[in-house]
Amino acid sequence: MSLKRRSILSRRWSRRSKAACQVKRPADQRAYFTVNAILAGVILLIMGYSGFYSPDENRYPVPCIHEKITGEPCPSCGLSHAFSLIVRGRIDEAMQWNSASLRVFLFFSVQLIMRVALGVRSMVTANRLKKIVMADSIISAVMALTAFYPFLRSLWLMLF
Amino acid sequence: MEEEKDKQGTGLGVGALVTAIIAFLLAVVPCVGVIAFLPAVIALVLAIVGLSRTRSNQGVLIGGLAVAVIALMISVSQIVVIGKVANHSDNWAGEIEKVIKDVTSDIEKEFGDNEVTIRVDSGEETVEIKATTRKNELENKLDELEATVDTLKTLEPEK
Repeated sequence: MSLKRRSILSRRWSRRSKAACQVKRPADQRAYFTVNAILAGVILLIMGYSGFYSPDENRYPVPCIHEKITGEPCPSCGLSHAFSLIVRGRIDEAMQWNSASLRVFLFFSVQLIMRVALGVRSMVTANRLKKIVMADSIISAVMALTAFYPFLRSLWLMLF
Repeated sequence: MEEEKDKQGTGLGVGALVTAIIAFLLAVVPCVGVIAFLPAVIALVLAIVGLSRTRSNQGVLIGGLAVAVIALMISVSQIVVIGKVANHSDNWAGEIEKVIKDVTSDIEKEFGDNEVTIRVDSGEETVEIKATTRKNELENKLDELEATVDTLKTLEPEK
């Protein structure tokens, strides 16, 4: 192959690869990816917060607003403490701080995996995106209701 | 122009949905449920603005709107619960005071001005404690005790 022919081919190839990189993804696909990425970031922040603050020092910056206003502890009191303990593998102690902590932590952990997996998938392909989004919404809603059921139940009982 | 509007709509939709989900997660936790009111309202506004601006890509916007409404409802109910508990807390203090007063008056009625003697027998030793429920006598005793304490204080050598 002549040198001239080779340079033409390489130029064509580079143009094609650039075009492949700049594939215009549909708006839905981009939106779904962004939502997944942001939510994964938020969950990572929660995990980081739990890992950063030591349960033995008890210096959590977020106070319980419910307790501050009413003077009564609420059903989610001790959740930050319990999360810090779960991150360190002290699950029995965490359950003593808040009995609902493990299910909420599991919810966040599974959600993190789901957000990363679905985010990566939405980057690669848009096949069956609508069905996936629908399934994701239903599964996540059911998971959220199951995880936060103790809090929602107490809220219901206090209201009525 | 149309593409620009679509981009705006998608941006607003993503913003609304993410804010709404965060608001929902905050709203269901009683400790911080009240704070969720603000992000829920922001998500609601974003979703409504997005829906009014663009006709395409409305799925994300409607999703954001629905989650924001649910989060707002839960957050408002948390506020109502806090109000209820706060009101009850005030009443509880009053009720406790009332119960204490009732118990005191019941005791006074029960014993009246009688003298109470407590006698403890332990083998050969016997201890007898005499007490009175007469108000005047109790007040006199208290005065005597206070006077004794004052005298003791004055007798104490200064260091």
